[in-house]
Amino acid sequence: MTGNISKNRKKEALLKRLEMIGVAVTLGILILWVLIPIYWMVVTSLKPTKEIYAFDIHIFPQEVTTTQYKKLFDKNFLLYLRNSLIIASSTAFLSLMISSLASYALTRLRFVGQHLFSRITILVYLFPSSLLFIPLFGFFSGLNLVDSKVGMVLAHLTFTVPYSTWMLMAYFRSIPASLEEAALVDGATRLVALRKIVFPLAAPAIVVTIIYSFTLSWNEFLYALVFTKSEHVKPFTAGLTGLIMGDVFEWGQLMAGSVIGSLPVILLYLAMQKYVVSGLTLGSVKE
Amino acid sequence: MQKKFVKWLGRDYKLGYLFLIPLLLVIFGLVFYPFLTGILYTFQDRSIGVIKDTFVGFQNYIDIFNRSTYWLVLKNTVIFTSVAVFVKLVIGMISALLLNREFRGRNYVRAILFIPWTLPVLTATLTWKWILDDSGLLNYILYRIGITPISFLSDPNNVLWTVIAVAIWQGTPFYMINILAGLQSIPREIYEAARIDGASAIRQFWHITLPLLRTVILMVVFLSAIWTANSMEFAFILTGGGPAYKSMLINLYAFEEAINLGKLSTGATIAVTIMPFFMILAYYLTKMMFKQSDEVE
Repeated sequence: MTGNISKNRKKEALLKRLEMIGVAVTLGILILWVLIPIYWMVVTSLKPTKEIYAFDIHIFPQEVTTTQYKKLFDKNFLLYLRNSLIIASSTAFLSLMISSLASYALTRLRFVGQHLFSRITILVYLFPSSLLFIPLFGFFSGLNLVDSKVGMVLAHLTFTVPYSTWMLMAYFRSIPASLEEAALVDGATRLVALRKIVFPLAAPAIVVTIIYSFTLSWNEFLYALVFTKSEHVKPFTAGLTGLIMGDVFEWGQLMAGSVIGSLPVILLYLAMQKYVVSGLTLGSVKE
Repeated sequence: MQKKFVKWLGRDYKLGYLFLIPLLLVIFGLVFYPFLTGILYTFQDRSIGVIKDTFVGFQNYIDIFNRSTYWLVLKNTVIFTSVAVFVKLVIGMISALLLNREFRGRNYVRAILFIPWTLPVLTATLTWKWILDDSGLLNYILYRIGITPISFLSDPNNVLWTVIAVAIWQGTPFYMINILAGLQSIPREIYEAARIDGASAIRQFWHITLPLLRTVILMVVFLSAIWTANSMEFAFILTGGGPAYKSMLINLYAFEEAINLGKLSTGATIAVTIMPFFMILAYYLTKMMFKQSDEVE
């Protein structure tokens, strides 16, 4: 009897151990799968050109150099980054203004058509850019907005605004209206209540909204490719793509550009990880 | 009379509409209006730089449906979307189940596994293109372990799968993080009760976890299906849709016609042909998203 039990215990312990090993191995593979490309991006950007194109590939660089970055900056890459920064910050700012007003109205005020407008907002959030970029191009051509930063910001607002509105609506629903109503009873106007009570309470959601709009705009590719031509308008995504036109791939410079282009969003994400993840989950309201 | 009207409009109608004006400008001015003109394009003969808007009826649709290329591209897009969505779901589910366990450094692992989603699609895809190049890292490793190099980016039999693989790498974290959030909302007691009843881990997964995650999974899959079917960056950067349209996807095809060849009407028509797919998914998604936010209220 007792022998059987201890045998079972041993079997259980063995199974548990096997399970642990299985979990660790799977996680290890997943981590490698994610990190190897990122490692390779960084390492390639630090190699001299000769080593990049050598037949024998070295997993660890033989010689670390910043020449790829220097060559990249000799082209217009700094200008592209500046354009990206201007476009993404303007998009994030305008998006926040528009969406905070709208989401407040849609959750806190009472008026006819509220429900319909919330639905339309979601529908626009789901609206694929494939249905939009061609007519938007035609529309902006008529308004002389193609190949301008203003046009880029307007194009980016089509996806950042509905997303931010939806996210802020979820947040407003989760903070009790009682605080603000107390202020209103005390004679404060809606606008004062909004500025002094609602916005401070919604600060975490507002930060997430800004980060999201900024990241989406910074990373955006299709509109950048379609709408920009001039050097002083091109965001870095379009600028970097410009480097691969033709058959010559300057992999060192492309990887250097990728490192610099990825850095701001990775840093933002790592710094704000907790908020960003909770903002992304579809049931974001739960947090 | 006027009071009644105000009552019908709602308590805060003045401020409400005022606050909505900017949003409505974006929605109607930048989305709905251009979209409707886009529908109009499909019945016209419009090109970049040519001011001409002759009405051609259904001619654009007829032309496109008569192209064998269109059907190849549609087939590619269906394969691309369904395979990518399915594999992202499987890997995302596995990652989420593993991250739902307690272990040291869990938050760091979660942070790392989430990185692909935060990267610009362009830089992630460029890096993969460099790795998968004929003289890239992966082929070098294959060569060192004695396998003949594989042409990931130019062999017509491989290109679509290469594009799918990179799309999976980039899109999986979105599944992982949402399924993980879903898992964490399932009360532990349910599993304890099942364990006492002697249910195995696999049975627990099929009979408890999956049914309780149903809404989350459906929402993630639908949302991701819209985004995946809509994406053109992966194919554009990796293969340009080639060789011989073997990795061409519908949105890239529309892009090529409209922007590279300047035929706005043809491009718009190609894009519009998959609108029913988006409409069905969007219909169910709006419903689900509203149901969820109502439950919370």
